[in-house]
Amino acid sequence: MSEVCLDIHFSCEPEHKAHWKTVFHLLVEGKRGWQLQDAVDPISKTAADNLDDVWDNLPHGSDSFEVFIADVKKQQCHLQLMTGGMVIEALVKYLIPWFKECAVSDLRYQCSGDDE
Amino acid sequence: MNSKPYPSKTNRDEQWQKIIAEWDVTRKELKRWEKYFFHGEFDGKTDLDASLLLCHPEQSISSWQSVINRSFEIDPARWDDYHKGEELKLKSFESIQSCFLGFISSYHFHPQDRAWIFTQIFGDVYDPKRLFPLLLAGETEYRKFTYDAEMMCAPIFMDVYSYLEENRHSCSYVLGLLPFVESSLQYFSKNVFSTEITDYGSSSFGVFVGLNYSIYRALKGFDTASKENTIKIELARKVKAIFDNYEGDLGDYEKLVALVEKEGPQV
Repeated sequence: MSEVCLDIHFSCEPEHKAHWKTVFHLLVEGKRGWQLQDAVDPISKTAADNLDDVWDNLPHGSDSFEVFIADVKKQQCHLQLMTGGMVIEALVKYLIPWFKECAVSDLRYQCSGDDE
Repeated sequence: MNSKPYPSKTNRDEQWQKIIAEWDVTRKELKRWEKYFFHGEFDGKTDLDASLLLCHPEQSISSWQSVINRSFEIDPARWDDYHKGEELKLKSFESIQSCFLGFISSYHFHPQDRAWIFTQIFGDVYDPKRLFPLLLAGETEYRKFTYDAEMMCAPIFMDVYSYLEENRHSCSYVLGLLPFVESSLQYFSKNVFSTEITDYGSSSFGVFVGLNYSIYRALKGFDTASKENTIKIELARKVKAIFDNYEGDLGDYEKLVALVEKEGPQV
């Protein structure tokens, strides 16, 4: 399996809808650094600070994935990331718990490979 | 060597804000760099790059030398990965030279400081015998530049273009380096003076772009020009005058001027 899609769905608090839109916009723009952390701050300062550790644990750091879909509709958020088969395990292991720190609800994810 | 003191016109706080606005590093990383930028102390290890040289609080030959001496400490395991130490050193040397040419534009120095930095490394005028004024760590002999006159001037001409057409950078940086450009002309390849160029990534192309837009802007009159455009026209005329007054072989320069006058820039 060379490429794997990771679909992440969650519901956000109404007051954080705009914040998630900013976060997703920055992710699409390829921002993974302090601007992204500053955008996460209003959602969770701890999560923003911990983003460093998430990137540190990924095989290629913050360059370990590409963002294909970043959608916020009403309070429903959908993020689709594309990564390599060797990276997906670490991405799930470290990124999914990170979303839990962001106080989102109904968090679910699904991996699908290009050979499926 | 240029003995004029560093102009020190750069507002360091503003410079830092402009630099980080373009950086996509995490806050933890940013803190390390902030400490380095303002105090010259870097926690941890990092590869020698433009940031290490150009973010140092003191810009001088001795400070750059100390940065090179400290940071070129490749641990043995990594050194083995590269297999050929000399090849790595050559790559590093090319990278260090390019820090002071194109990369420096991302570090938001005041134009006068930036021009001073350029002349410290490359000289007030081009001298083919000049040696790179910094020693690579562990070496005792200064190396010959691997960049020629055209390669050194290409970023200057790209800045001419950026200033004339994109309102980026400042003309005072270019004005400070015109003597260097003038002294370099005899070493340029004839490609620069052709009427078209297809080698887009080359140094000839960089010079060609700046030259084309200088010729084009120099044609404009001052009568109806705004204050901003007047400064641009003046710069364009100064750049063009260097070529007009050159007594050596300029290839198809006159044809290029005629073409730009008739059709506009050929890029």
